[in-house]
Amino acid sequence: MASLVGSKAPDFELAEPSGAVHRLADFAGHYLLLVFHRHLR
Amino acid sequence: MRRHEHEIDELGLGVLVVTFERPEVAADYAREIELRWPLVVDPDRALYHAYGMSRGSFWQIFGPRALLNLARLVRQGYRTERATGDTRQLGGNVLVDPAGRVVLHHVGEGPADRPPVEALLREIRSHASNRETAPQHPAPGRHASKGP
Repeated sequence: MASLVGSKAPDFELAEPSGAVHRLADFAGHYLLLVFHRHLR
Repeated sequence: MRRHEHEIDELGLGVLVVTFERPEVAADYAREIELRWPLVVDPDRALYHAYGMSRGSFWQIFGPRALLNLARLVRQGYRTERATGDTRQLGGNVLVDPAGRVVLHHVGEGPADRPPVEALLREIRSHASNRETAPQHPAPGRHASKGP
């Protein structure tokens, strides 16, 4: 896949196991670091 | 990353950790390591795909370079366990600016291929100084600190 640098970040809405939902829009006005994990165990 | 928690807060950087594992596995993991940032679950890997996080080849995961990286991590205290998730799924880091544009897109080429946190923080400082609009208030989503 080509680098996404310079393009609009793909939108998302994902929940924590607790049910708390996080959306890209929540971080408007802030820098956001997305850390994609490999397998946890 | 925890060593840089203070700097991350100072920069107003929001952090979301993404996993494809089952919610119960994710919850156990977050509790066990006292993760300070939200760990969100992407079971069908839609976000992994949207951000180009692919599955590695056999040689990317088990080749000499990967094994050397693993040896380095073990020397630093990393504990290896029998994997229960998809060992070929690669990880990576994406930095999004306050306007919603991607400013750093790093797709890991092997298990331990990630930019150092120091490099990520430098990138933010450099980008923010060009924008001259570095946010000064805390980013949403961060979990409350559980002590020193």
